[in-house]
Amino acid sequence: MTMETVIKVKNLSKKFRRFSSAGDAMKEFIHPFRKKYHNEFWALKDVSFEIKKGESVGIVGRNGSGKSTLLQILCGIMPPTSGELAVNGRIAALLELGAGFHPQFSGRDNIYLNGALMGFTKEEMEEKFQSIADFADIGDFIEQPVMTYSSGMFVRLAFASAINVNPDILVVDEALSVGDIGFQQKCLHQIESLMEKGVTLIMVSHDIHIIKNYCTQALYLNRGGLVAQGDAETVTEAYLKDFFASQHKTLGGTGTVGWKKERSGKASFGTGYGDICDISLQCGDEERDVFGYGEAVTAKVTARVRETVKNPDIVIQLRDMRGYPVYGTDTLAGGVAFPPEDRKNGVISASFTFEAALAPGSYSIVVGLNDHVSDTIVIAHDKVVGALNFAVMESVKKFHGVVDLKALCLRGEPSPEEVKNIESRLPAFSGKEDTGSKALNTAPVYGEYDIGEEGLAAALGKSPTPELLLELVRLSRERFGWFTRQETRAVEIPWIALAAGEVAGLSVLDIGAGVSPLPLYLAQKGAAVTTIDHSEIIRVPGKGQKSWDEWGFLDYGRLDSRIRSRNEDILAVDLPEGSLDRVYSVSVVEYMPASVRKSIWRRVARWLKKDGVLLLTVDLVPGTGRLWNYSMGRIVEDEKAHGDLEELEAELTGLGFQKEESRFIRGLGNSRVDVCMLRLVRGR
Amino acid sequence: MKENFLILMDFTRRLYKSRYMLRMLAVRELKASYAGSAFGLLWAVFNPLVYLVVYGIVFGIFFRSTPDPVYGTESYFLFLLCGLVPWQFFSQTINSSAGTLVKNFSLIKKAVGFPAEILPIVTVISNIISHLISLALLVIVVAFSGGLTPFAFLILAYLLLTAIFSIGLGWIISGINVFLRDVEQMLGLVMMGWLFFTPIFYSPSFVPAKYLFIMKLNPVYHLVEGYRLALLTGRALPPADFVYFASVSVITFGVGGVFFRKLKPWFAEFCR
Repeated sequence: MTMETVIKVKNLSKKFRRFSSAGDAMKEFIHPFRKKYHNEFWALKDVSFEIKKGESVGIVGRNGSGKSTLLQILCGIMPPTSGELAVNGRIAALLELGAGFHPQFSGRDNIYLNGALMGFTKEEMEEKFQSIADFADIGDFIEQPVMTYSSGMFVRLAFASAINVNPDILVVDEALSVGDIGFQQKCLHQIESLMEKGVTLIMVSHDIHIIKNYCTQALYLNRGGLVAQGDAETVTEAYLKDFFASQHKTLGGTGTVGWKKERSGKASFGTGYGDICDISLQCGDEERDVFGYGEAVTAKVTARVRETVKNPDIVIQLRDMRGYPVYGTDTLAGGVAFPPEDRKNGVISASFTFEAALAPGSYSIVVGLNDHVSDTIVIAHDKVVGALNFAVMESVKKFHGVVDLKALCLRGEPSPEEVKNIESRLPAFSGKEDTGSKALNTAPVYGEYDIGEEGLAAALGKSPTPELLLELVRLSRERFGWFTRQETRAVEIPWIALAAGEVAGLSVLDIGAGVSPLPLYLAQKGAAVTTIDHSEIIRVPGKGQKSWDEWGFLDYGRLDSRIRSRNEDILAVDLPEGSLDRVYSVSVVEYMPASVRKSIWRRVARWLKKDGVLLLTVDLVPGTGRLWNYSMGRIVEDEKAHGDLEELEAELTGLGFQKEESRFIRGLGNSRVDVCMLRLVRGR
Repeated sequence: MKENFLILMDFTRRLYKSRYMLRMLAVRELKASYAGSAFGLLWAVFNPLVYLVVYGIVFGIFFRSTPDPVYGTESYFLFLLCGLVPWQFFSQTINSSAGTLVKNFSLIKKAVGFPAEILPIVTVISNIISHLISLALLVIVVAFSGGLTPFAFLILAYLLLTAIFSIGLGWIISGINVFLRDVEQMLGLVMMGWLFFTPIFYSPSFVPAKYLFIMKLNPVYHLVEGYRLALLTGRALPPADFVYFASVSVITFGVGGVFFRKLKPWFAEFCR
């Protein structure tokens, strides 16, 4: 497909003539020798660009930068002073809050008028009328003169008639800001579908997000000149950077304020008992007034107080561009006190370090100095409004609003009661489903044995390492389609992952691996992992994964080539002496008779290097130290023979292991067992 | 010259293409001018009648003016009415043309591709429609006084020429008015002078012969004279006068069109 140029602009300039009187304008137009009666103002200077068919181009720039003039020239409403302009296609435009409507015409008449302007006959417009009226959705007002419309209704009608007449090029100048949010969404949706049809879009908006989302290209105008053009992301960023920088200048932010007593231009007041002397903003050791999202910002405040001010409290508050407080704190709240004996000639200073988890934009800092005479009496000694200004740059992190509260987002699992309740309360969806968007609604469904979102949320709430747990859950769900719903595992598995320490380059053995994310996780961290499991159930990756549980032999090698898996009895396996750095086993050994267990220990002791680590999690009979002796519906051996935790530890210490750590999980949720987690190091 | 001719050709082509819009706007303007009034289009009848009564009493009774016998009637009121009706068409058209661009600035500034040239035409058309109503009154009155002949149809030709002239003049005046709002103010005075220097209250024979040729430069002179001759005597304008009237109308149309086209690009900038 060839890219056809629909708009070509070359060295376009527009000079506005400012006449001291209207008579001068007339005189100049009819003057036979073209005498000049005006002074000049260049709204556009030497602008060149091309727009190809189907492109969507955003125009950004501050007020008065020539955006609207450019659009008016593109639409042929004004002639350029010099330069070339070629437009190829039918333009529909929404210029400055609405199309050209006749105020005395009804909405209906204006729709027809607009159609006539676009070159449609009356009959063609009769066909289109209904869809336009439906889109505008202004009810009976369609028969009223448009001068009786609210600005929102006006824009609705204007937009509806502009986009429903099959334009080749759609020009939108800041029009969307008037409609309500619902209508805006409708318009943006319509714009998207026009774009899909190959309509070229040219749009001016002060809403940078709209430009970024809807435009592939952007032009950045400043004082009539084209400063930047190219992909929307880069150009809008360039614009924002300049914008913040210049706004800083006008607001008076400089990064440092070594201000004088007068503090000209900044609102402040004081009692004469104390005053704010200095404030600076830093990131690390660098003084700055522009920060990236998430950077640590340190505000340093220095103040001076008289001896009589007993309990000085330095307060800072961040305000957004509109002056709304975003966040505030003070030294007292931060546990910092300035007793008189610690002050040096009355000078006190404090620093507040916070994370710039803020939306992009400009912020100002208000600094205050109070005296907490008592719990109830606070005297304000000084307050400086707008002491400093700073900006936060656009970041990759997406959130709405001003402050990023870093919400943890999880999928919920509606209970059957809830579902029933909702079904009885609400009618079924009416209308036909749009199959196009269906794909978006299908969330992944995890296997039967999955912990579920509710269980995960609970586990995350209790977990000392929620991030690690989440990583393991993600890994497990990604590879197996589920993460075990066995409640204690959400503690055991991350514990092992953590207790194994740095494993890169180490060789690790998993005894009775079953199906677990641990071998995969450790392999990803760079370990050479071997798993041994003597189960008769063979799990084949990709086959019925959703119905798996954590038992069975899985050949991990098929998922990660760094892992070797052996479907053998561990007592039949022989590994070279001192070849392992880590051995771990998750709830396996207690399911074996004591004799088997003991022979396993002897092997492990031989295989492990000196200082090698053995990590065990062992199920216990709740509230006791007895090892769990019930497996696969039968009792392994009697309690006495099976032994307890003390005996198990003795078995290991007898082989030269030293216990480094033991932790218990007792009474977790509905778990039928307690668990002990043991970390031992092979000594000698 | 050739360039101007091309402008004119393109201009006419666009006018033809805009005919649907022309009709919509004309109907709208007609409605708007009577919107909210109880009598609506009847004002097209009342208006000349009121003027007729006022001027008739002052000039016909107080000043004892009588029409020239050439018009074949002794009634000053009939004579006056035959002059007032076409004059009012002309003066109302020109008066409302002046502000039409400024009034419709939203279309000029924001409607892409809006042919501003049709606005003065719309004014002329809507005024023709109300004129036809007062004309009906006039024809009825003349018919009752017994003087109507088939030659009365000649007035339609004069009406057409006046429409062409008014469009041309409308383009010029409305165009200038965008830059110089004084035009609308000035127009009231100019139209008053024009009224008195057109033989409406008096017959052309009252004018000293050496000034008559100056009077005849005024195309409205021929409009009024044409109406009277056609309605009251069933005669046509002298051929020389008709040719002059037609030429002035067509030339004004052409000049106005070119003038308007040259100003047009600047309208969006100066319409406020």
